[in-house]
Amino acid sequence: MSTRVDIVLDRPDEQASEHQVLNMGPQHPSTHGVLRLVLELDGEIVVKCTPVVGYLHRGMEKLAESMTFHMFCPYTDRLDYLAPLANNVALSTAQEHLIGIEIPPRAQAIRVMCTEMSRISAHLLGLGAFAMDLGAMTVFLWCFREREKIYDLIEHLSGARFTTSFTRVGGVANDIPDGFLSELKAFIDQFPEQVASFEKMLSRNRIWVDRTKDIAVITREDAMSYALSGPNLRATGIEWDLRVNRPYLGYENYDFDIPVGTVGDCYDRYLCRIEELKESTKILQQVIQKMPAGPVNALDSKISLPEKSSVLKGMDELIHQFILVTEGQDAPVGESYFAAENPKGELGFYFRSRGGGYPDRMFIRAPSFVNLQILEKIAPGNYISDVVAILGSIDFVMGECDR
Amino acid sequence: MSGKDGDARSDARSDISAILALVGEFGDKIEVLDDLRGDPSFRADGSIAKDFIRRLRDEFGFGVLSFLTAVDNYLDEPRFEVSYRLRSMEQNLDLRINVPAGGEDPAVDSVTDLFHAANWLEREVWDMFGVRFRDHPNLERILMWEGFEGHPLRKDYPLLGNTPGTPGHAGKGAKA
Repeated sequence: MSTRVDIVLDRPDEQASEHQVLNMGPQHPSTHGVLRLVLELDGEIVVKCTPVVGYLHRGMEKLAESMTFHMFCPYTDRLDYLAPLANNVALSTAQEHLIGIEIPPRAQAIRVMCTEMSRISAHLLGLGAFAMDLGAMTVFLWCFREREKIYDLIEHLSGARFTTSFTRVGGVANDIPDGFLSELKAFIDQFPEQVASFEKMLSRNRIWVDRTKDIAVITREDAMSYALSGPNLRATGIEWDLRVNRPYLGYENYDFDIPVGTVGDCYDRYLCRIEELKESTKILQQVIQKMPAGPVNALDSKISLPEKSSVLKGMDELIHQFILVTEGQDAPVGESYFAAENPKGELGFYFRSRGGGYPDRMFIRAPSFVNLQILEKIAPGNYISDVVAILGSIDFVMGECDR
Repeated sequence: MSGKDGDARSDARSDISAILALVGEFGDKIEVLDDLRGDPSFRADGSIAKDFIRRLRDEFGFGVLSFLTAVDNYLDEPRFEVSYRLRSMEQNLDLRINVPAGGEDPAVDSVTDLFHAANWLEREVWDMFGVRFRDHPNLERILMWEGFEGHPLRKDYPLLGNTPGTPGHAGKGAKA
């Protein structure tokens, strides 16, 4: 462990001996997981920041090579573990993109609903933890109260609060339960009022503004060179959202705006997330209004699992079920990449297939991994107490970063 | 996946003709690949790949390196292939550029001086596949710890078993 610190100290800079090296993490609460930062300090000011990642590496990409497409779905719950449903959706849609099938409209609408519910819950945690790190305990508790309501909804939908594994290749695990949409409607009817109360607590709060405004400004050029995505990219003023630029799952049929920032500081990143909460609410409202009828799985027996009741009675269905579970879907030979706009940014899956039910290679383009690199650039020059604000504003998840 | 996407594709096709002209300048060093899902893809020789990427960035506006990763074609030669995905936000277009890397000491040129995002991604490829990146400022392991032996995503690295020197393993016997 000490070797990396030595590397920092070994700099041929004669100033280095006067600089103090501070190790932050991997257990520091405001690093939101197991991120470690080696900070080189000149008094209270950070002169160099070296993020050290990998503490949560579980070898998911290696595991994926020995698994059929369905078997990997539970692993995605543990990627961005604040938005498991959105990860499920991204994975399954990427697999369908590789295999080359379309899913029925109702399944698409359910997936859009899942993604937006996850986005709300992930942004609520990001916002709450950000606020708590800067001392606003109330906002944290209010955010968690709202998250609790979302988790109740997710539990009703998928049977699990956290590890949902809700999607399947070709559709979703089950149709929406009775009464779910009215529960969701009750939630989104009261939600804008809650968002307004968060804004009331923070947006013009003197302490909050002082701590976040003009802190860690990211320029557009840097945002592009560092390949930022998600709210961190949009806060710099670049209007780029995969839901709009490359619509998938019928996102082109929903009416919503992409909030963008102007400066690219911590305050803009906060504002972008607040606005995205409102936009997601708008999308959810439209999903409820438009929810199409029909099947929730593709009617291709070589792709999606048959109804359980028919498996117990019919021979064809039994054979299909057996083949799909043991051998998986037969993917074509070739490469494919599909990226979804997740709460943290662009979550993409790159597949290299040699045919058959197992990917030859699966790469997870994790937004947190790519976004975190920018810390080396934006942390230096700030006070050490602002590092906490920067981490909160970047809003990353180590499960996804380390894979 | 329908509607707008289809329109974007047709726009993309016209833009690609300019890129194809650039590909022509490199002669047989760049091969246009037939992609499964219609993404414009190229296989570029390691000697000119960085030049190609630089010119795409500077002349065609491909200012974002969405990601880069590698694939192990075990038992084939060249064994590794580094795959870059470049993006132009103005044109809403992605390109894939595959660069083969083979031999005893597989290596390609680092693009960290073109894209900051490449830094960690190249370290990850080094860590997982053992493909070196020439002129990388800090080519160390990133996900595995220092002193770890082997490159886990290589196809000849065992999926199960106990790596000697691995901390915290219960040790139920290695299965190589």
